[in-house]
Parts: sequence; C-alpha cells; structure tokens
Amino acid sequence: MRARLAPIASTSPRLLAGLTLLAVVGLAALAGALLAGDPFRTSEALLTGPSGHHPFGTDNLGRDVLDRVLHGTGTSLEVSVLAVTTGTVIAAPLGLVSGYAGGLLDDLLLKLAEVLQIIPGFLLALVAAAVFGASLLLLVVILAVIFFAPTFRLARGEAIGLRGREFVQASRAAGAGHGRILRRHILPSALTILLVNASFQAGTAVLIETGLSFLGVGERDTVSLGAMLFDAQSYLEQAWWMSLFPGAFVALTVMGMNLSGDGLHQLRDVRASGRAGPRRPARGRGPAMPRLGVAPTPAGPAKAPGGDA
Amino acid sequence: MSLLEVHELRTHFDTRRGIVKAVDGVSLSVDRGRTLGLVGESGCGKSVAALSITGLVPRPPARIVGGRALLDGRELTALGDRELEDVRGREIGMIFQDPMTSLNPTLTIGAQVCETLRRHLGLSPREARRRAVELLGQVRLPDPARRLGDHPHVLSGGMRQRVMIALAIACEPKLLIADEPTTALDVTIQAQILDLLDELRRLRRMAILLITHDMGVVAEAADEVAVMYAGQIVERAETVELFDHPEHPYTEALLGALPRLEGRGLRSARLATIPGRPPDLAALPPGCRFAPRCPYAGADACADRTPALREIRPGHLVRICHPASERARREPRA
Amino acid sequence: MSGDVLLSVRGLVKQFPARRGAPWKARAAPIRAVAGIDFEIAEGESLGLVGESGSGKSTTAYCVLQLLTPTAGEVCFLGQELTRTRGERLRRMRRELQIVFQDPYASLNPRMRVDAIVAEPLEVHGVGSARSRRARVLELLDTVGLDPDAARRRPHEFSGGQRQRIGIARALALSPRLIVCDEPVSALDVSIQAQILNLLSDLQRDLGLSYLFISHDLAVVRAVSDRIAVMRAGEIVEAGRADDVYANPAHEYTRALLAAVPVPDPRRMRARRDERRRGTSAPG
Repeated sequence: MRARLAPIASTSPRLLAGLTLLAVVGLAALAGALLAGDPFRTSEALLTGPSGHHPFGTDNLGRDVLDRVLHGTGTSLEVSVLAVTTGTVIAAPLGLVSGYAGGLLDDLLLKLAEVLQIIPGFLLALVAAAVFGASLLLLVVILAVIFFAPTFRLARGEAIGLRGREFVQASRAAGAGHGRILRRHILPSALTILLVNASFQAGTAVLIETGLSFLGVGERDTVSLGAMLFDAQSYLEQAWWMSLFPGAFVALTVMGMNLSGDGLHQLRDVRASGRAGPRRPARGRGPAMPRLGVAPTPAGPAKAPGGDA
Repeated sequence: MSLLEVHELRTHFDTRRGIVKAVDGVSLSVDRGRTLGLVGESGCGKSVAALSITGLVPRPPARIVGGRALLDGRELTALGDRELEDVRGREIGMIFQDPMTSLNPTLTIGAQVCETLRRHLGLSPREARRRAVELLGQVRLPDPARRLGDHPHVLSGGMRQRVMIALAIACEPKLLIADEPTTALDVTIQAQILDLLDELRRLRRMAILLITHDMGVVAEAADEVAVMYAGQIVERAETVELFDHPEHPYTEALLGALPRLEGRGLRSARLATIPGRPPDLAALPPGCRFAPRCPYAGADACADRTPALREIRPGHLVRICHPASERARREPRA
Repeated sequence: MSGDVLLSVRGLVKQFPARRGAPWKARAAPIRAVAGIDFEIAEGESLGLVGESGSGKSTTAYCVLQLLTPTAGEVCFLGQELTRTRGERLRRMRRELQIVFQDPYASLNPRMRVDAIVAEPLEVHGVGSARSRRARVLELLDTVGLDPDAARRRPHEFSGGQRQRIGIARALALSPRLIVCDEPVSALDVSIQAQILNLLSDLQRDLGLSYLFISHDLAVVRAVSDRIAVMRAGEIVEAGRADDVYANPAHEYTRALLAAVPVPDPRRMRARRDERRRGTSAPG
C-alpha cells in the first residue's frame, strides 16, 4: 500500500492532501451518523463556550454544537454527492453522444442545455421551496438541474475535440462502430476532465446548499451546516463557536473536494504524459527539449484548405 | 573577435529522473555577415543552446551550469533579466519554427510590429506605423500597408514567417537566431525565406545562427556548419568542406540516410540507417556518446573517455577517435 | 505493373462548405479541396502522391478510406464501389484497406496499452480468440522491429519512430492488401525516417502490399514509389512512372517543385540561389 501511495504522493501531493481532508470530513460525517448524540436535544446550558462536556460549545437552544456539526457535515456531503452524481450520470453521457454525433441531435440537446442554463439557480430553488416545501430531495434535484448544463457542455466539448483526433480516425478506419468508439476512446479520454469537473461541482454544491439553508430554504428537520450558520448570525459576538466550527467544516469539505479534483487532474495528466496536445499536424520537429520522458509536441501549420503563398 | 562567441556552454535540466545534460560543453562563434548552421536531430540540444544564449531557457528546471556567451564582447550569461530583455530586442533577433504560435492570434499584425518598435525604439505611434510598413516591405510582404490591419490567421504560412522576420529585425539586431525557420513551410516557400534571410544578412551585415535538422537547408544557407549530437558539437567546418569530407561517423550517417532525389535504382536501394537511438541525456555512457551506434567503435578509447574536439585540418574540428581520414584501413564493425 | 488493379479512383471531388461569416455578408464559395482526380493502384505497386500543403493529398486519402464522404466521384476497391457501400459490407472492405497516420503522437490512444492498440482491428472484426490475438500482436510487433515487452507499455514511453512502428503494426493486423501512408515519416528525424522507409519497403516486398504513399517530400516519395502523381490545388497536374517524372518532369509545377527541393550539395544549392538572384530560373 505504501509502495503504491509513494508515487501518487510525489506526482500529486494535492491529491493526497485533498483526499486526506475528505477522509477527515468523511469520518466526521460517519461519526455523526453512528456515534454522536442527538443534535436536536436541547438543554439548559445555553450559549456555553467550548468545554470538556461540549467540545464545540452549545448554541442558543442548548444543543451541542459538536453533535450538530457532525450531523450537518453528513447532510452536506450526502446532498452534494447525490446531486453531482445524478447530474453527471445524466448530463455527461448525453453530452458525449451529442458532441460525437453532431447534427440535429446535437442541436436539440444543446438547446435543452441552454434553456436549463438560463434559469437562475438560486431563484429556482427559492420558488421551488415555496411551492413544494423545502426538502433534501428537492435540494438534490435543484442542484442536479443547475449542474446539468455545464457538465453537458463540457462533455460535448470534449467529444467534439476527440472525434477528429487521429487515434479515433484510426479506429474508424479499422471498422469500429460508433458504440465502440464512444466506449473505448471517447469516454476514457474524457473521463478525467469529467471527474475533475464533478469534484469541483461537489464543492460548489456544498456551498450552494449552505447558502440556501442560510437563506432559510433548507429543510427544517435536518441539521445542516448552512442552517447552523443561519442561526449563528444573531450570536456572532457572543458565541463565536456557533459560526466558527460549522464554517470551518464547510471550508474543509470544499477545500478537500477542490484539492482532490486538482490533484486528480495532475495525476492523470502526468500518467498520460506525452499525450498529444491540441491536434496539430506535424511538419518537422518541435523545439528540441531534452528527452525527459515527455514527448515534445510537434508543431506545424494548421492544415487549411487553400494554398500557401 | 567574432560577434557571438560561446565557450563551453553547459545547460542542465533538473528533472524527476535525474539531471539531463541537454547542452554539455558547446563552443561556437559567428562573425558579422556570416551564417553558422547548427544542425542536429531532435533532442541534440541545439534549441536549448540557442535559448541558453538568449536567456530564454526556463530556469528552473534548467540551469546554466558552466560556460559563457559573449555578444560583441559583452557577457550575456552574466546579465540580469531586464538587461537581457533589452539585448534580446535590440541586439539579438529570434525567429522560431511555427509562426502561428509565435504571433498573437488576437492582435493585428500592425499592433504586434508597432508594439515592438515602440517598446525598443521608443517611436511615436505614427513613426512606428510608418516604420512597420517599411519593414514589411523589406521582408517582401506584398501590399504591406494593408497587411497591418490583418490578423495572423488570414496570412499564409510563408507570409506569417515573413512577419516574424520583420519583427526580429525591427530593431536592427546584430545577431539573428533562426530556429527551424523553414521547417513548417512548403519547399517552394522555403527557398524564398532562405533567400530573404540571406539578403538581409548581406544588407545589414548581420550574423545568423541558423538552427535546423535539414542538411539541405545548411547546404544552401550556411557558411559554416556545426553538427550537434547528444548535447555536444561533434564536428565543425566550412560548409563545402563538411559536405565534401565529413569526418565524424554521425555526419556521414546523416548524409547517407537522406533519401536521394536523383539517380537510378533508388526504388530498390535501402537507405543507410544508424542503428539504435540517441543516448538518454540523464544517463550518458561514460565514453564517447556516439560509440554505441558507431560502426567503427573499438573496445578501446571509445568506451572510456569522451574525445575532445580537435582540429583535424585547418578550420575543420571533429570530436571522434576514428575520423574518416584516419580510417583508411579500418574495417567497420559488423 | 504486373498485378491487377486494386484501387481505382475516378473523378473524386471533395468540397467543404465555406465558413459562415456574418449573416449579412455574402457566403464565400465552398472550398474544393479535391477538384476531380483520377488514379489507379495495381497489386504490389506503390503510388506516391506528392504535393505541398493545401494540395488536397491528405483529403484524398481520407476520401479513399471513406473517413470523409466524397462529394462526387468513384472509389473502386477490389471491385467494390466504396462510396455506395455501407454498414457491414463496408466494414468488411476495411479489412483490406488500412492507414498509417502522420503524427505518431496523435495516432495512438495515449490511455491504451500497445497490445490493445495493435489488437483493436482484430477485436473489431472478431478475428480469433483472445489468445490467438495476443500471439498475433507479438508477431506483428516483431515484424515491425519492436520487442515483445513493448506490448505491455503505453505510447508515451516510446519515441516517435517507435510509435510509428506501432502504428504500422496496427495497420498490418488484418493483413490488408493496400495501406494508405499519410506522411508517415514527416514528423521523424532523418535517421529514424530512413529506418521507417526501409521497413515499409521491406514489408511491401515480403507481404506483397500496395501503398498509396502521401508526402510533401519529393525525395522521400522517390525512395518508396513506383509511380507518382503530383497534386496541386486539388488536381493532379502530372503522373507517371517515378523514374520518368523525376528525370523529365513535363509540367512546370513539377519542375518548380523539383527545383526547390533542397539537396545536400552546397555547390548546387549556391548555384541555384545565384540563379534565383539573377532571376533566370523558375521561382522557387
């Protein structure tokens, strides 16, 4: 295990850092679900600071902040992971197929994505909450809708770029069908950037969820970090622990997700080093960089129809 | 004294796999009004050498660990970044292989040329414009005044390269470094560009350091040729002399590997090849760097030490234990 | 040449729609990358298609392979009219017609292992079992001069010349009759170029292959071709046996092209330059 971690750690310290943070956050959420006490239990000890009995202090209703933070983290993770997974699983394949196929299908799907993109997310959330009543499920659906268009466009863009690449042409020349090309060439090549995108979206999802709860849109019955921050507003001066700890956990979660995404990108790029950059037909060699195990990118003129003068 | 003098330049790269000795003891000189062709295949270090001279090699991961480069007696390797920037604009001009990536696609030609003129010569916008049209005319760009308003993608490859040349000579540099200036161009345009460079060289008494992998280009354009292999210069001579009497097996092999245009029986003949590949610059063999691929390498001196560059004839230097003229009775290794 | 005609191209045209500018500006004329060309390749023969950038030679290659749909014209391969062949029948034709691409860095999927890359054509056509495919891959790698342990590695671990060999191995997998080589050595150093050209010649001799060899480099084409066709602006301006065309070019463009090719002979190059300066020779 250590032997396998070492190369990852050296190529992408960011990934290691990100995953560590997420592990911490994940453990916290697990602890919240399994070990912690009841986050709704009120007590007489109102607004007490951190102490042995209440390591993160108590809030205005005497509830233990540590318990609430652990539960809240779990909620945030649940919502964001669910939302991003749903969004990606639906939007990414559609985007890849749309970009690869082009033509009428692409035009239609693109219009759909554009429509979804125009809708302002927060407004939609507020309206939907007012109409359907706030709930976690609603939150997940709203987030998935918000993330559909960017993921779709990203996947579509990748597919458009990839379909013209020479190794895809080689596959076509060998007689491969579209299904095979999408499965064996387009999807694996686009996977990295889709995963990176998903990890960044997860971080954003946590923030949006926090924000919505902060505005009072989130569900009443569950604990969320955003709702805690909402409650903490009135006690900023008296009870700093009510805002610091939930805020810190939001920051840790988002940072963990972003670092992981960044690190994943780094890792995959280094592994596939020497992969061709943007398609440029080679005429002669690129600048002679020393052989570092990274192939120099051949440079050449873009092949435009029409002569040279 | 030559305009450009380089003594034992060494540039090493710090990489994860170790220290890559991209340039390892390169010495050369170019006089005013002459062209030195620096020729070698990819990875030999010719571009890194040029970038090291002008201070453009990225540091880190590169380090110039030894040697000096002098322009008109002034030591370039000792200059700070700001001073080097000034030198690069005003005394050294550079043109690269791919004009499409060297020109900013979002700016017009005029904007880019004028920017250089104003930055380095302090001209007013009107003067810069006038001078830009003049320059584009000197590089024989048709209809220069109109071209100022064009974006790079509108022009053909050959025309873009002319713009690059105009940018490079805008401030009347003493030295022009051209790194694969014709590689990306069609053959018919290539000749035109080389002619243009030659004309500019004669008119302005510039020195040209011409870097290329193409032996045909150096045959036409270079007065003197230096052949690079694995970070070192392995042979140097006047062009005609080099082509008539190559001494280093690598030079011979390069010339032999070129497909011939004229002659009979070319279809059935096989091209002479050099077995193997260039050495890993992070893990160089202890002796002569060419020995593993050399048909004449013996188990003797070749494996132990790197031969020094020696003058085998006046004006003809070679770095090899078994130069062609001393090989009269030696059988090539099978 | 002695063999039967494998490939016959007649009246091939490929047009690209012009870029749409602003809606109120008139639409530019469509670009005719290939403007009606004819040529044939016989069994065991090598046809060199030569031209500068923009001449339409690569577009021609793509049209022959049906990677691009020709706007007009016929591509008749092994008696089948490819432009009218679809689906499964076209797929089966592809077994006999393969391609080696120009860019060794872009023509191999960087995320796939070499054995998967070379075996892909076999998998696509369901040839053999997994074990027999593995054996075939090793055989192919050996044919192109690569070690068997290359099979487990990925493209970025190889040099340009070696990657090109992998591409050639992939093209050979289905034992095609005709291989289209689209500038296969343009991105390689001279010494590696020579190795690959020798390999291609050897393969032709040993396996009875035919080539459509596309290049801008007249000297390279000379080394590999029996007949050549010179393309310019989408048309073939001259064609014939290589020896004849190179010795006595009939068309002025061919002459200009030949006159411009750099030769490693300083005296000749200087003489040419002096002629150009005096304005006595054709522009070049």
